[in-house]
Amino acid sequence: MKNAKISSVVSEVELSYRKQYGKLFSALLFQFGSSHIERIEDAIQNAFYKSLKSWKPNKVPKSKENWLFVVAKNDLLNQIRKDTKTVAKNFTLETLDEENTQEDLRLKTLLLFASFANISTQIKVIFILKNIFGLHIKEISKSTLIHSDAIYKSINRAKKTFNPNEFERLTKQKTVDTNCIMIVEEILYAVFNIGFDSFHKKNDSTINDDICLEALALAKLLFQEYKTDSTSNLIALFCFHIARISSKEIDKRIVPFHEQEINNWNTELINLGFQYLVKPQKLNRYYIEAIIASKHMTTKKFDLTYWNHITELYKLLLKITNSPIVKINLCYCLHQAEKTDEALEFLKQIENQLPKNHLYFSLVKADILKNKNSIESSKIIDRLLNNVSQEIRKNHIVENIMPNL
Amino acid sequence: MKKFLLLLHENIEAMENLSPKEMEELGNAHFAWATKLGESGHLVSGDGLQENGTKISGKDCIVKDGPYIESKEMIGGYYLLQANDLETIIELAKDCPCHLWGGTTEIRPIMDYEEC
Repeated sequence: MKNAKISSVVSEVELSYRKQYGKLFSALLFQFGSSHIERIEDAIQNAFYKSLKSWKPNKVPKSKENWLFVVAKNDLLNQIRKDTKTVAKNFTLETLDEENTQEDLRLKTLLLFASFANISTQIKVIFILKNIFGLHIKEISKSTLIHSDAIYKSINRAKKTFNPNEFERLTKQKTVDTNCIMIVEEILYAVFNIGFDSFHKKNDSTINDDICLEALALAKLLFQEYKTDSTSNLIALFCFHIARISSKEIDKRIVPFHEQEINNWNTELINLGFQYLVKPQKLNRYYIEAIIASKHMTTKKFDLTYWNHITELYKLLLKITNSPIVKINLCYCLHQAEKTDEALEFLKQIENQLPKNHLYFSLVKADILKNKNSIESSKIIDRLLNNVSQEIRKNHIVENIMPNL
Repeated sequence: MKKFLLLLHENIEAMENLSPKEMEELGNAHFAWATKLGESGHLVSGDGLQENGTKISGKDCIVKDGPYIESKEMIGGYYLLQANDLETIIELAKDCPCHLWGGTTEIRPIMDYEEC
């Protein structure tokens, strides 16, 4: 199932409500402006609900996309008329027979939100997850471990910041600066990581592949438009990771990297990754991460020479980013390169930067300590088991981590 | 064959909180279920109902506009089904996607002139 989905990534045809949400939101936002964001959200939800009620096996619109757009737009117009007792200027209700070929404005919306000042990247990511990637608050909460109330607050704050005057000014801007492209890349990278390592309890899966594929699709649109080295390398990184998705979990069990069936990795995407991997004029994190991912997927031997080489790449990466996750990766590599004391020193430095019982940190620390201090190592895993809510992750720890301690 | 009206009492709160993905999955589930019923010859018709409506009551014909949300459930749609007996319909109705999000289905046999 996932393989089929991934194969169709280059030419997606099926209608996905999540993707559709982002397209409808962007189209209506650019037509009606940022003062109607809440009404637009309601209108899209209402259009989806109406589709649920009225589409039947013998009664499906010729273009579902067009149907949803017309119904959402009419719903929005009715809301505006009801709430403001006025008719939105220059807009009339449309009939379902009319063809409305809607341009995909999701990238334009992303760039616009990215250029708003005085708002943190985290808030932008949350707002974009909801309105461009079509995730519900509860899904964002489960994927990011951020409490629903905090997400509501972030979204409301974002809506207040996107004031109509500023929105209008930004939509008139003809050029997009490099900084704005970098923020969009950062947002897509964050969104991708949420999809690639999801904590969604109900699905009992650690991957939300829809989000990963949409992040890739938008990164490709960004590259088509601005052709920067960093976007190209971001795409390469996404391709290398997505190529492994179908092997990462089998029968609701996490398959560790070294036990994955290499023949099941998607070679089309690996090749695409190498096509997009370009040496940049200025070193960026996506390039180094893509190089590491590609080496991991193509090396013949995971020996000391290999781990020393990867350690150097992570050290280089740390000159660009201060990410604690990169530091944990470095610790793991140092340990593999038999530099355990150095790895433990690094772990001490980052322990306070992360939440208590951080999953990845705890797993790496327990692994590093297993020969030096097996009692402490077991205690870390016990604490972790009490804090992990996803069954699939619990099973993975019990079946794959504990026996090796 | 006897006819039965299957009323779908939807859980309003659950429906309002569906994500786009869940909405899509619910739509697909109804689609697949209706197709299956059509193929087995049990489906006569079926439709979703709008939330608003009008009630006319009493000799004076007092007209009252909806929606009428008196409980956490609302009739969101119906299926008109046919089968030889109620037991068959009960088994079929157990698979109705309405149940996926806390909804209730109600089976009302259509009054048969011959049986009265």
